[in-house]
Amino acid sequence: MNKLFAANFSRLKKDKPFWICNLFMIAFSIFLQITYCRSIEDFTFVLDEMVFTYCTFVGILLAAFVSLFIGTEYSDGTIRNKMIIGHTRTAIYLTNLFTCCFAGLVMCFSFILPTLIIGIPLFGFFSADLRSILLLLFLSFAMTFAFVSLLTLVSMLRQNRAIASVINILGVFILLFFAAYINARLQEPKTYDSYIYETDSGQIAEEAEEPNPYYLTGGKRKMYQFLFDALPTGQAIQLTQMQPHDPVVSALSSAGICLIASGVGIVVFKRKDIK
Amino acid sequence: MEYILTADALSKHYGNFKALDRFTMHIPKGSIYGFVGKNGAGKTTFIRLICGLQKPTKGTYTLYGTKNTHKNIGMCRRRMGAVVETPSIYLDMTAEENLKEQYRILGLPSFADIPELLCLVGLNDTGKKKAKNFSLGMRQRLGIAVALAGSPDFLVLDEPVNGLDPQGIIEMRELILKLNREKQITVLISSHILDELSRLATCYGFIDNGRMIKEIGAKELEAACRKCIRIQVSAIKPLTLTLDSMGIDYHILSDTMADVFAKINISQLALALSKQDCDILSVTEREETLESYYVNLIGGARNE
Repeated sequence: MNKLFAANFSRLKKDKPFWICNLFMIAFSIFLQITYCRSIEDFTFVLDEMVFTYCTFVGILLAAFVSLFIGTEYSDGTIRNKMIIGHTRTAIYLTNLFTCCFAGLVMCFSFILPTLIIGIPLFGFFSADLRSILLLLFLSFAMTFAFVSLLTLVSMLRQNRAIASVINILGVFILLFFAAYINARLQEPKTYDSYIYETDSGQIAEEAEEPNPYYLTGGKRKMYQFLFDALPTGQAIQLTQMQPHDPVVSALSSAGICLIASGVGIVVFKRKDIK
Repeated sequence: MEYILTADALSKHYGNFKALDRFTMHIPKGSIYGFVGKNGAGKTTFIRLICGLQKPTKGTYTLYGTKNTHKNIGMCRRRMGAVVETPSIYLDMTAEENLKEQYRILGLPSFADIPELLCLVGLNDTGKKKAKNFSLGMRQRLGIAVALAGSPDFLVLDEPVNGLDPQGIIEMRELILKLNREKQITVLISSHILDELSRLATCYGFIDNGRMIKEIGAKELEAACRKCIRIQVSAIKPLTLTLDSMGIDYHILSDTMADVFAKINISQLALALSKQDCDILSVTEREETLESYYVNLIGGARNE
């Protein structure tokens, strides 16, 4: 596997989509801080509010990067070179997975480091305690690996680079919208507040507090909450807001996604007919 | 005879379609094996199987004496190089970068051989030009260079001259001959361009509908395709005696028919035979090309 890693990392070093994604992360971090800095007179900002913003974007960037990085092996036919000289399919799958995980981490740090370097002098150090920041950092990396595992699964099993790219990018967006919908349902208030208003005839009327029919309760609420904690995109929203509901469920879910996606991917890839 | 690769009753099915059906093959060491068959006959499927890209449905093949089911088959494949269908090269890299990448995959410690390898395939002056800007011929040659990294002694080329211009075809032929003669590399070339194959191959395998129809050496094939005169006579013995006395090469086909491999004076032959009460019934000139041999073999003539 060392030989495959050497080849993959050498390719990653020259991979344009990888560097474009990293440049985007750096540019986005700088843009965010300039925007916050310009409104600092009207609002108070702390470093914590911006440092995990990358969680929402890293999935989208990885969808593009992983599809292109692995898809090139199929479109250029170079995956055959690895197989012909006797590398096992498991080794090929795992080296691609780990290389993309590494690329995902680099993308995260491409946002985190400029945010810290520019953000600490501007906004001061984290207001939250360091342990919870490190926990969030760990959860965000676990979420990144979960994203990479799912994207690698699709890219390794679809030999057509264009189709794999479309499935991955659309998939991440659909999961993001789904997570946003779940979040909106979970944020529904339990009741509509009572309010007083003036009628057309000038009389004062009062509406009593009413229960919200869209408020989730019981098992349904638990299921929605579990999905929101378990989905990588749900975690992305929670981490961006620095409000993980249940870090244990999120961490276990990321680990589970990594294991199941990679396990299924390796088994199917081993049986796959390569053209 | 020592064989690099043998296939025994190898089958590959895609659903109900039998791409290979109890296919057998024997590739002698040091040969240039011409793998002949029409499009869809099963050539590429067989190559994909021996390269480990796909698994056989039934049957086995043996590479360097190791069966495909043996755990060491991966190690044996390190001794082979292949270009399957299109050259396997990174289009966004230069020729040298592509070779460095392959060297890393192979775990070769030094890149010192790369200039020599590029020179061998005639790509030593491509500089920083990326493979996506190469001509088809250059890409094919780079694909071969990548396959040659690691110094294999068995090279598999799937339709290497497809789409090449006449100059490209000549260069490819010279390269293959050079690799076979100078580096003693056994080559398996699949093609349906028979004329081109006939200039290279030392033995042939004809495949049709996933089955090996015939394996034949170049000398045997040459003999079968040799220009000759087919003579039908009333008795074969007087003919053979006469031809022997004339020192002429011939091949007996039946009790009344023989192929004569020389330009003969028919009047003299007729006179000599009539003295032995033997009549000439018919004389026809015959010349079979590899193409007609192949068409006859797969029953193309019957279908016409």
